[in-house]
Amino acid sequence: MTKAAAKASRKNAKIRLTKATASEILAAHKITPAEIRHAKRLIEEAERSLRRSSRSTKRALPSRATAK
Amino acid sequence: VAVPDEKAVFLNVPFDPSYEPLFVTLVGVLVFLGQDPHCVLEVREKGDGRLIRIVELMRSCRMSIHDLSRTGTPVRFNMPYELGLASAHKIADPGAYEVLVLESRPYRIDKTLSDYKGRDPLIHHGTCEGMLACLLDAYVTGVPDAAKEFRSAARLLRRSAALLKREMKATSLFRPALFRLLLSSATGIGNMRGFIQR
Repeated sequence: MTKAAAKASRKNAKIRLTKATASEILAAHKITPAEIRHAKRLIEEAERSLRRSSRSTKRALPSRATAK
Repeated sequence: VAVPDEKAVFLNVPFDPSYEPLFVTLVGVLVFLGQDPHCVLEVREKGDGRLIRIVELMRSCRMSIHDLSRTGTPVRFNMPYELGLASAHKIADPGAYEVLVLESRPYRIDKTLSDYKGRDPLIHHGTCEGMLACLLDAYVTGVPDAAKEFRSAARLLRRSAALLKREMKATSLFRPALFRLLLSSATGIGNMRGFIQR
């Protein structure tokens, strides 16, 4: 290994990925259909909650015209 | 010893309340990158010793990520100890195993772990944004506008994790059942946003 190559390797060169699919990840952890459904419901609830907080932030901010 | 899965990543991180958002971001972004995160929360005591099970889990992975950002009191030796185990594994078979080290402050590791000098840890500055930047520095991704997309998806995952914790009346996210649901949520979001295939 050249000096430059050794330096690059020490400096955490980027890792090229072999990507797993969603089913592979779920299977590796033996995640059950009930857990998948539970997670799906949580995501939907989280999306609603983020939308609500984004709307209330917008309401709380005065419009440019009002600020003037 | 199990054959290492090249998508499997072993996580060695502090399990404390202030680390929860960083942990959720770490798990989420790894899943969005198509990686399969594992940690000691999966290790159940079967009578043959926890350490052996941790080593087995580490050896079943292709790489490990170690966060050495917690250096205060009470002193915790688990993280550096497991980094030592992983480093020994890498030294024994350099091409077959990768080790990534995370820190919150630049150059501190030169003092706290001087034997590791010469290798650069990834610095996250104790923020979720920093954690995302570290992972994007470490991995090549084909996702267009990955920083923006992953940031938004990680925010959604953190909100899901907060709801999960509240729903389960849990004081900590670092529990086996919650880790499974966190992974399931990350996989769902990753799939929904088109980062990983079904």
